[in-house]
Amino acid sequence: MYVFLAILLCAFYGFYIGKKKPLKLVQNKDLSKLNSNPKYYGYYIFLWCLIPALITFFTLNFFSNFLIKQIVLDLVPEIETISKTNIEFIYDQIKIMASGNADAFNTDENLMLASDKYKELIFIYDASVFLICTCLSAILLIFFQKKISLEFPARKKVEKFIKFFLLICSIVAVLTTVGIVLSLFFESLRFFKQISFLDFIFGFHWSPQIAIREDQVGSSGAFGSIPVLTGTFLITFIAMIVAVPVGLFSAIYLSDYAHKKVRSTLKPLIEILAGIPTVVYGFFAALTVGPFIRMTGESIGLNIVTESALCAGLVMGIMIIPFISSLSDDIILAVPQRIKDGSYALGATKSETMKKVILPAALPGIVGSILLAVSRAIGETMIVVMAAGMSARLTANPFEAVTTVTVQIVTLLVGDQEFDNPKTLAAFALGLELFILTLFLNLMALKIVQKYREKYE
Amino acid sequence: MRQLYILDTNLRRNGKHMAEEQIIPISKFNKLKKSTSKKVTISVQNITVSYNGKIAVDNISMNINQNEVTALIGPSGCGKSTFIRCLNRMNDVIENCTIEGKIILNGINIYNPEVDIVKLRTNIGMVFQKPNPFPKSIYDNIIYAPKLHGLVSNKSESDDLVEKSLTEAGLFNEVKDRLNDSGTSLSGGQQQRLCIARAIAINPSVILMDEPCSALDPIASAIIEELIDTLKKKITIIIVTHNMQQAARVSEKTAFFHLGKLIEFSDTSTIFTNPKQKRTLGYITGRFG
Amino acid sequence: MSSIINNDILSPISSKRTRKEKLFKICGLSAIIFALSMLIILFITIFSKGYSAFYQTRIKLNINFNEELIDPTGAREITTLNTADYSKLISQSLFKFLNIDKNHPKSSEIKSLISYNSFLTLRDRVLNDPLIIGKTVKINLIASDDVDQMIKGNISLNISEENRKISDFQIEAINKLKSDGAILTVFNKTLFTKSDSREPEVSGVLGAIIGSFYCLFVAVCISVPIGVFAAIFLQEFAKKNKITDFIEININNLAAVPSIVFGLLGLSVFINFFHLPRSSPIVGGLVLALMSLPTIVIVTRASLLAVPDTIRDGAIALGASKMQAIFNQVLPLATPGICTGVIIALARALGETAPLLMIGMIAFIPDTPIAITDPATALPAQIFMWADHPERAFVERTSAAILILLSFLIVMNATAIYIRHKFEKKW
Ligand SMILES: Nc1ncnc2c1ncn2[C@@H]1O[C@H](COP(=O)(O)OP(=O)(O)OP(=O)(O)O)[C@@H](O)[C@H]1O
Ligand SMILES: [Mg+2]
Repeated sequence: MYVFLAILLCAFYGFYIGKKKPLKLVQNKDLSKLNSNPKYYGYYIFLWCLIPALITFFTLNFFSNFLIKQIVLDLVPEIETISKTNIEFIYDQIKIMASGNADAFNTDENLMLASDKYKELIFIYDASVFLICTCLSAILLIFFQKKISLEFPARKKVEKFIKFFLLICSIVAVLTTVGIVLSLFFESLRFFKQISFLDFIFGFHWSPQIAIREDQVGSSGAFGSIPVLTGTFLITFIAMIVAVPVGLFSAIYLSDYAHKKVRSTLKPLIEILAGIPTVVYGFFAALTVGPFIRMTGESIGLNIVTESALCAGLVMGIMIIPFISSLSDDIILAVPQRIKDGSYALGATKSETMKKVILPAALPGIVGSILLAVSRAIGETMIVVMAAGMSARLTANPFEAVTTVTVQIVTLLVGDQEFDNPKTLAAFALGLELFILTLFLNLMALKIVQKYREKYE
Repeated sequence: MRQLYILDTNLRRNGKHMAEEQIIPISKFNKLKKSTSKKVTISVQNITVSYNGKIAVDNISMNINQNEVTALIGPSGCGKSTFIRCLNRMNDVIENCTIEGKIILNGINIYNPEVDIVKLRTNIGMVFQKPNPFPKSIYDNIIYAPKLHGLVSNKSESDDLVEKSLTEAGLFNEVKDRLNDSGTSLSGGQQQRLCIARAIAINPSVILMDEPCSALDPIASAIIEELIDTLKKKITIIIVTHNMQQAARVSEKTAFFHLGKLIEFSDTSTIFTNPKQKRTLGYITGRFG
Repeated sequence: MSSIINNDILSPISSKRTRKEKLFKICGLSAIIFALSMLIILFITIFSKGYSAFYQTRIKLNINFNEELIDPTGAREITTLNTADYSKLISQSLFKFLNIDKNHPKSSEIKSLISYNSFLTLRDRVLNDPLIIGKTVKINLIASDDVDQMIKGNISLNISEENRKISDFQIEAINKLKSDGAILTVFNKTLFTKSDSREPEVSGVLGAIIGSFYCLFVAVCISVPIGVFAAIFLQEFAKKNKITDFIEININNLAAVPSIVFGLLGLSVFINFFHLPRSSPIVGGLVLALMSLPTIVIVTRASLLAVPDTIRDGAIALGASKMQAIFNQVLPLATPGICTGVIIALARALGETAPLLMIGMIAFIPDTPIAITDPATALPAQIFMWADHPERAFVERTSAAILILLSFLIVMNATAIYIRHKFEKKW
């Protein structure tokens, strides 16, 4: 904490000096001789005092954490024999003891020793970091304030830095993707070391319950992802059957039939459907739609489970409606009015114009929006977690319970996580599968939509 | 006689470029036409159009003769497009637009609630300022409307109709080898002729043209003008144009609009040589507008 | 030839075409009606299930703070006061009120009319004011959830006793309490002042709201500056080349990556790699920040694009650098649009559940979080957990929590719409 204060102090002082110095350099307050506004000299020094010191601080912090942990844990006897999770636990204990909240239950000699060492190391670390960072800041301050002269292009340099900073910000998005890919990939790799890749991709049996203890009876775990995928597709398919016609027809009605006023009230109303959190849909599905479907089924002599694929798909379809309708609406409206006029002038009715001229022209865009909606449905989690079942069944019967990729990820990861157990790692393999699937759909959709946009520009 | 000068692109004679424009005293220009027809196709009676209560076309009455070309001229924003779109009720598409008055087509007021707007538009075709072929093949562009109206029943009939319409529009020879190409792949002039071909494929009795040549170069315009000349034997044509020479060349009667009002409406020869109104004179001699 | 068609503009087009036209229109209309009726049904179900959670049944009792029971020695030591048997005070007063012997075989049924946690209320009273000992005070105690549900009419009394949550004997007692005016229905303060609990009648959403608030706070601090700066770079400075194209595709794709994948990212990077505390709002906020980043970039770019070039040119013509023109002239003009977009992105993040499940924000956490590194839950995660409880009282609370969440979302979206209308500029 003090480190930050010291660095900031340095930086603000640098700003002050940087701003004052050029004013002293010019005679008669003739600022036009200066290369840049004096403020920029201030910013320039400020940045040089602040940024390198902060970078040093965070780098040191990151590496020292590992170093300290290593040194401290070496003091614990027989550390090699302890499992990884327990090591974390012991380390946490040491930290707690060092902070003075040693609980009465743990007075283990070795741990005491380790915690004392920890305290010592932390103290040394804090002191040295403080010194290093503050000195760095101060040295840079002295060095760069010497550089200030009348001709010094401070504004250009500062702007260059800002531009670089902006670039870094936009790279965060790329880093996120890289982070997703790497994390999914490496955890999946660990999974595929234990379970064969082919079994996962082509296996027809999914029951990830694995015996955690040796003596436990029960299944040995099977990780064939096909039934999970078919379940996902079944629910997505049902959702699309609901959402595509409803969404498309709403878009058609809104863009072509409804009056302006009606349109401006109806459109936001439908878009509310997209703003409702999915957990609410999940609750709605589990509490109202599921029992309703089961009762309807009973009354016509069908045996439908409450957690049927139909229920999850239906509710998901409702959620997807606004995605399709507002995307299609935009796309239909993007077809220029003069083309519609051309059709009307030939004596075509509205529906004929829509079916034979506008929709064929807008088709690629609509396909793109449907693909985006499919990607969304595949990745949707809460509705299926709350309203679809857990049993991985290979079926196309919408009245049965099926499971989905996202449901399985949630069930595998909620609760105890053990990162050396295939059961936990399987979630990441499923996550990778999901990511690749949606990536493929998204890229395709984005490409189609983009191409389509260019056509009318 | 007042000495009026207008521009003549002279294109018909030598097909050369715009740069060849020359100024000819109007007295030497004796091709201006006069109305000869006695039969009225459309009778416009006190039409007033307003957008959101703002009047765009103010109480206009005029008669449009059969098998003649009527040209509408006037400065930008004076309501020509609004007026011409009334004639096949294209303004119905625009929400905030209100129309009063009567337009009598063969004894029937087209604003009569019983009139089927779709039927009306099959009777009165329209060609727009910017060529607007559908993003479909040339063949489908032509056959779209006849199919809707059930004018063709089989493939050979369709083929015949496509060929006939394209020939009438003077486009057939240029596109006969690529009827399956997209209509949007044609040049601007070809696209506009495609739109005309598309309009005449359903045999309308009237065609409305809203600045059909404004997006085209002089050569393509000249071809369309010739086309208009041939079409008028069968079809009544109403054309909006900003090009005075075009109006003078193609039309029998000319109407001059200004600020939503019909200032003058008479034979083309009268309008261009001996206008009654000062404003008309000012406009056609280029003093305003 | 043309006159043939001319004469029949009065006759309608073929009935087949008219029918098709009508059918098409009806399809469109029914699609709209379907979507809207689903919306209405959804709201009505949630509201009708949830509104009753906003009031609560209390039982007014004369509690005798009997010194013998609480602190017979009279020393008033904190430990004695802390550990005294306050439940007994309650049951005594209840038995007295109902004229029931404490050895009555069904006396435990009577005890369970009052919420199990009520002794805490008495204890806090005593700890606050030890002088109360020995006095008799009227106190409104929270009724147990079964009593609450019965009073609200959610328990059908017609079914047989063993299928009912509440016994005949209890019903009799409740009716007696009722006729004596000891049963009150009051506004349910607990819902807003308490966190999660195993007992539905004393559970509330305060902890979840604070958790959600912390998450959003972290998310805003991270995603807004980064998103806005990234958008400025991409829209104003980036030259069109392979790298910026790649960044753009990346952002567009990220906007459509399933939220659960962001949860996996958070789990393996923030928790397993950087060892940030599990279940904490800081991790939740980081994940939500990454999730809303693409949306913020996209809206910010759109708002920047809407500012006409004349503004930039004007500033540059006055001798400003491009950077100055953008930060001093363009950005302020784009701010309302950016705000609108950011609020909408955050509203979406507020309702997001799946990534929070991945990073463990669905533990049972009865404490209200203090710091952003404390274990916490969030409002949607709380809804998810409560939705798992079959008790009627929890269904009611789940719906109420949904109503609270929805009202937050409505407020946020309304603000966004207000900003858009207020500052909307037509260039
Ligand atoms: N859809 C509309 N909504 C509101 N006002 C309109 C609309 N269309 C046209 N107007 C207004 O009506 C008036 C006449 O417009 P119109 O398009 O008929 O003029 P024009 O004579 O065709 O002009 P131009 O020669 O430029 O095509 C104009 O003032 C215009 O602003
Ligand atoms: Mg016009």
